[in-house]
Amino acid sequence: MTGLLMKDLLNLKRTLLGMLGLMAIYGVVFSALMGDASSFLSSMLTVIFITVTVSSFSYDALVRWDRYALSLPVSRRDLVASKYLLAVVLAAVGAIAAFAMGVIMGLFHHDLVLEELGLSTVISIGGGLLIVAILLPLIFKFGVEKSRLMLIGVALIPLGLVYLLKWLQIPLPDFSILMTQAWLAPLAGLLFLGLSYFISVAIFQRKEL
Amino acid sequence: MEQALSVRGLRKQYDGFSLRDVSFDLPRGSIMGLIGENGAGKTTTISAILGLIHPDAGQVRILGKEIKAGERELHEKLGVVLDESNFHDNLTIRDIDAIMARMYRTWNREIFYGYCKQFGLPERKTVKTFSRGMKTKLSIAVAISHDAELLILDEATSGLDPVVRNEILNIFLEFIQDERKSILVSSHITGDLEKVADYITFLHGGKVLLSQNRDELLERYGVLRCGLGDFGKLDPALVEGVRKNQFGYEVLVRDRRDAVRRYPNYPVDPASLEEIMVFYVRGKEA
Repeated sequence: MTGLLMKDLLNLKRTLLGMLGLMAIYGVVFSALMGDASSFLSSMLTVIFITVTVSSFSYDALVRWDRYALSLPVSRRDLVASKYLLAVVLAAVGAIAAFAMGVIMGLFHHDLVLEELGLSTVISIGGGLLIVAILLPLIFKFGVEKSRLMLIGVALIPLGLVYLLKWLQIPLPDFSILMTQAWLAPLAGLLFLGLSYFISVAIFQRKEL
Repeated sequence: MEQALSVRGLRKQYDGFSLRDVSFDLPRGSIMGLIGENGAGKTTTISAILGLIHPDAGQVRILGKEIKAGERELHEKLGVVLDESNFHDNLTIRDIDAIMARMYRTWNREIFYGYCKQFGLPERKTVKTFSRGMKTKLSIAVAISHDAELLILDEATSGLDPVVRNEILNIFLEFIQDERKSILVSSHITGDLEKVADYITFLHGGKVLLSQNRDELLERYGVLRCGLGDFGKLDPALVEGVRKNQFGYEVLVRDRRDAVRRYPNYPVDPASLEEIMVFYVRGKEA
């Protein structure tokens, strides 16, 4: 399975570096104009690691990699697991990058609030992992092309949920209380990702390639 | 004789196409050509052998062992080349070496780089810059660099020029010098298989029309030529396929010698694999 992960990382190397470079440039511009760029950086991080994860599937589809990979000593379970691992690795790389850039810019502007930066990073990771957890089973089921549209839908789910709660007049939890528990977000994301993995394996086992 | 590959009663139902009771045996140390027109079921059969699809019925034994769902141990002994390049555009030979070393326990780096050199594949360039022939050669190099005992190739030589195809056929012949090793190769380029295959399995409409030794096949089949008015005189049991042109009929006969004995007035020539294939597929229309 390390071979599969390595294939994705080597193949996405340039895309990833390009994205991180872009993130740095935008971060600099953003912080020059607005001052604090931490929330911007962390939301960029989510977008980046989700897009790069999805584009790994696009590259695979282009060369019908799944058919080939399963002709090698690779099980369907391995193949699914490698994609989840990739998402976690990319989330970690994105988080470290966002955090590091945030620290550098904060020091530069003399307005570094580590706590705030950390908070926005963990929330972004949690939210991103949740989206990936919903998205990956869809990709394994319907293929990456059809899932692109679903990505937009999936990203809108949390927003829809908030509106639904409002409509049902269920009181939303106090935002500040919610924030004190923010460090739980990545854990919750990982939990959902674990659950999602078993669903994807069940889907992919039955798939005809 | 021990079989490198044994396929029994393979069935798969799709909308508009089905694989019907496909069975054949590939003895160790030999090359089998899987021929048939586009859509005959070659890729479906290979997909079933590799476990990429779930057949409705049937059994596949590779190197004497039955393939079980989810089991990947036997795949260590397989080398596979599928009908298109399966390596991502951004990868280089070095990347692929690093990846494959983590895929196969028996991956042999020296042998791999040796083949890449022999095939003229540049180490540092990305797959994107490779021609179609280079991509195929790369896939073949990967397939034969981990001591595989059974090579399975799906349409590996299609779309390549004759020079490259010839090179690849030579690689096949070199590969089976080691008599533990065997090759299953599907192609609709029958001329290539006529050169190298020891056995031919001919698929048509999802069924095995024939599966036998190439020499016997080429020895037995023939094409008989007769005038427009004479076709009715032939014994219908002799006729496997027929083609009509403005001068008369060409008739594919299963037993060339028998045909010569019974109809000494008509010329009977040996049939090539291509003729056998075309007559079977198109020859029922006359």
